[in-house]
Amino acid sequence: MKRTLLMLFVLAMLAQTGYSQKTKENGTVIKLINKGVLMDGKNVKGYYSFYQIDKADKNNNNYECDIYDDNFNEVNSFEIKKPNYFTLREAAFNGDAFLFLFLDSKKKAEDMISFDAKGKMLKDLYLPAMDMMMYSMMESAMKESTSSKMNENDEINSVPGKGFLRMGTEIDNKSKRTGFSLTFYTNDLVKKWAILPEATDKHKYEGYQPMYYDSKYVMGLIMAKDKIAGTDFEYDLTVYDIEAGKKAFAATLKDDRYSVVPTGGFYDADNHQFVVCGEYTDKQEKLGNGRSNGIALLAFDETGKPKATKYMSWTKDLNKLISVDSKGKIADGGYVGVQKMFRTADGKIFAIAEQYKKEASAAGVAMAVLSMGQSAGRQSVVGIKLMDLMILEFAPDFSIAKVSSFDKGERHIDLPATLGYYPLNIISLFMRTWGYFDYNFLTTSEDGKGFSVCYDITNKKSSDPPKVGNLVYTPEGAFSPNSIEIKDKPTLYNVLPAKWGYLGVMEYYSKEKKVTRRVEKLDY
Amino acid sequence: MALCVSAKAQTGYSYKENYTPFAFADTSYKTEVLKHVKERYVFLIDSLSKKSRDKKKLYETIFSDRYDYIKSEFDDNEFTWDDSLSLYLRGILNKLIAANPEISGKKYLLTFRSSVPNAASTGDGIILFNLGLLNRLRNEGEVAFVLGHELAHDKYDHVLQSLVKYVQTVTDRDYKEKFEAAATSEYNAHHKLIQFMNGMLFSFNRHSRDHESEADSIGALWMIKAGYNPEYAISALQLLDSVDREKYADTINYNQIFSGNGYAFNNNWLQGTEFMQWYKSKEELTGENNDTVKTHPDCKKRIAGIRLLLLKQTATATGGNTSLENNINLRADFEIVQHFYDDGLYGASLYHSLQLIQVFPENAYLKAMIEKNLYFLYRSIKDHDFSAHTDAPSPYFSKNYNRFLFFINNIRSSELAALATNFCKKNGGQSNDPQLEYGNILCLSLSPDKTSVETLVSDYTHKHPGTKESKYLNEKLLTTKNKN
Repeated sequence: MKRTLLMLFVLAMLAQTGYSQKTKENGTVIKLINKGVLMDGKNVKGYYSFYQIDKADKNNNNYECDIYDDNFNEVNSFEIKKPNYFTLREAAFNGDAFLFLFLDSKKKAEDMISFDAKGKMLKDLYLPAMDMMMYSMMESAMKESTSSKMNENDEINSVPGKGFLRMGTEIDNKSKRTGFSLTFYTNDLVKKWAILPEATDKHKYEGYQPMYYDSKYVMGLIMAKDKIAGTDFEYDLTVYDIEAGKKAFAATLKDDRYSVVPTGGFYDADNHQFVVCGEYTDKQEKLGNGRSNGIALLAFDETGKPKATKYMSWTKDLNKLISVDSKGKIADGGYVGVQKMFRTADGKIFAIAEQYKKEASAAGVAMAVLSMGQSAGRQSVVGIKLMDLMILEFAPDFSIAKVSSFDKGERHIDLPATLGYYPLNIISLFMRTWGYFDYNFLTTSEDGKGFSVCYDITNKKSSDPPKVGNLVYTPEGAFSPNSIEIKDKPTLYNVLPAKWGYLGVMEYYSKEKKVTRRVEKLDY
Repeated sequence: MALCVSAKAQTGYSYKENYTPFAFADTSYKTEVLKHVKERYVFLIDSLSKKSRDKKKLYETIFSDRYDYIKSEFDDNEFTWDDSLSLYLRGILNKLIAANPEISGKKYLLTFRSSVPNAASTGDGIILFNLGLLNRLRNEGEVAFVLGHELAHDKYDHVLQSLVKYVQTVTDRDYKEKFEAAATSEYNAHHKLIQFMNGMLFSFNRHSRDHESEADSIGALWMIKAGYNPEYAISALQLLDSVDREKYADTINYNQIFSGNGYAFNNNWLQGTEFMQWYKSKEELTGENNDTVKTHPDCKKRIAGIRLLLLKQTATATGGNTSLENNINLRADFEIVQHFYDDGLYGASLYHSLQLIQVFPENAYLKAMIEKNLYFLYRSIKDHDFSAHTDAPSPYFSKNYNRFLFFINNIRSSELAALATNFCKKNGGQSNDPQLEYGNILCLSLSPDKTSVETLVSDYTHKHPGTKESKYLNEKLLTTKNKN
């Protein structure tokens, strides 16, 4: 219970847990520990795989990191001798330098190593052991995150031409206050500035849900509470200025009538404003009571002053385009959960959403019955049914212009026992963080006019080969849905973001101890 | 380069208007070769000395695997033997055998439909000559040297010697103990094992390099006896040294090939993103320049070796400067196009077709291949298995090939359909060539206006009943045309 709740405060720390498979190499067997994508901010520049090769001595292992380009050509590799229980958590490439973040799970310490674009090591920076509580939270986040998803909440983010931005969580040793931290490193890992939890802040626990970042700003939701197990949250939209290394502003998301829980947003450089999108409730309602009135779009200027607000109610506005009732339920029951919001280069605003609804969990109910109500099992009696993928398009005045729905099959999720008691929009936040939704990731074209959304498809027959959906929005403004079949029956597979117009696919075959990697062209 | 090839093409077999690829009808030679291989392996097993009897099982496994490999290559149509190209090579082989009585026993020559510039002796009297080498050689003398070299490997049992050395090594108690010790080391097991294997490889490959030098010398002497000027041994090795350079170095003129009829090729498709700077050279990645893994000595060393040999020779010969009969090396170029297509590698087949159509712009076979490859690349995007049918750009490919790969990797399926349709309208026209007709229908089926497709399929089926092409058109096009 405690660990699960703590998850809310480490939203930015979800590492991509990878395969833990063994592959054959030169007649010996080596262990693939992790893999991931090298992004230079918006675009995929390559991939990496991290292996444990063998033991170097009593205290150390030999590790190898293979680097692939954006077409999955293996182009380089480096070997390092590091302590046992070492793992590569994340890697990033900012066009000028690579940064690898390692974790020593025994010493609870971290190691950051940077290389220049040609592979010359710039710096190996060992970070001292972290607080036990901090480590537990991070470990919990790594275990809870779904391994099949490439989570968009990476902790290390590239800032092209400048360095790397680390979005994490820190515990202030004096006040024991847990809070969001932001640290900027140059390519040679000099800490340029850091924003740490503020000792004066009133709440003891604080979590941050990043929604957007670029080379100038980081925007997200600061959520705070006093009791670790409490459900009484306070939250603000918070923007940090990366160039200045300080908080730009924190803005309330409440007005006289309504409260908004934002789930997506972006910085509109043309109009010098921050735009957020989310569901809104009456002001007097507590966060997460589930009574959503509709969808709101809010704009703030660069100082945090409100510029525009648009409330679109389910009954008066949205029902013209989608069939919803007064509680935000879609015709056959369910809600619309916004996963991501962004603006295309030609000024159109889109929100990627999923239709979902609460339902009884057969497995959870069975467990409760078997234990005659005494079970404190891992599964809740409450489950979630995921339905259509929806793309909401908004006009420049923020009014909703179009809603497009795409069938991706229905999938039932059994929630962890602790989560079932939460209101639906809090459950939705958790699910989004853990990658429980079918939405995987967004890729945008280099000119910023097109985008593609990767999501999971649920087959009607479980015996059918698995499928991955990829919806391409073409520069002509049309949607082209792709259903990509994973044909060769791999033991495990992962889909990864790729260069524009492609999808990265990694497949593992346990019998042959083989991993295949490819980028597959999308049809549009 | 292109003009030079074009001028050559005017003589002998004409590739100007059309080309007919090899057929795979006669199986008697295949049966004979496989029978020969089986009998040879039985003979070798029976000939094992008492001392080697304990290794019988290992030899049997190796021979069985090798037999299966040769059979599977036959079954997959990777070898040809009764075509004009193989018959021509066999003629030169027989000339070498006739002039050198010490080359005894039945020899089999197979053309290996591989684009890799190589030739090989399997050690069983079988010589494999790759299309990718034949298309680079310029005259009969160079072909004679390559064949002489492989015959020398065969005559002096170099393959068998390497095999015996391998079996002796891996069954040796000392080897086993060292291998076991490295593999089960508590620390640095992977590194120790690689170090151990590299040591073994070095020993094997030094042996192999000695064999290569010996085969060069003997091959050169045999070609002299057959009347070929030994300078062609040197020119063949010089060519091998630069074989990584593409034969058709001219940049493909995509605008000339695809634009017209109001349609304009988009030059942006040819632009690629910069490759990652942090990459190892191809040699570093594959270890090609490392003495441990090199099976052949440097070509420059091999040339020096032959020059030294020639200094000691009193006999000389002047033959072999005749161009390859019927521009047989060009035939190899066309067969490479066909081979990639047959293997479903539509990207590579299209690339080689585009290179050749610059030389033979009116060749109906090439037009048909371009149409068919464009169509099947389009289908592979629809089926989401594009990566199985073409390469992706790579820092290890040539500039020209990457430029082509950028094109087919950048172009969208809808754009590819328009490009294919226009190419068909511009080049296909009303053709009586069955393959071009087939390509036309495939490409027209990608057009938004599909009204004529059903009639065209019906006409084609009527004209060419029972062919695999008419079967495909009826099965796939008539049922899927509305989905495009």
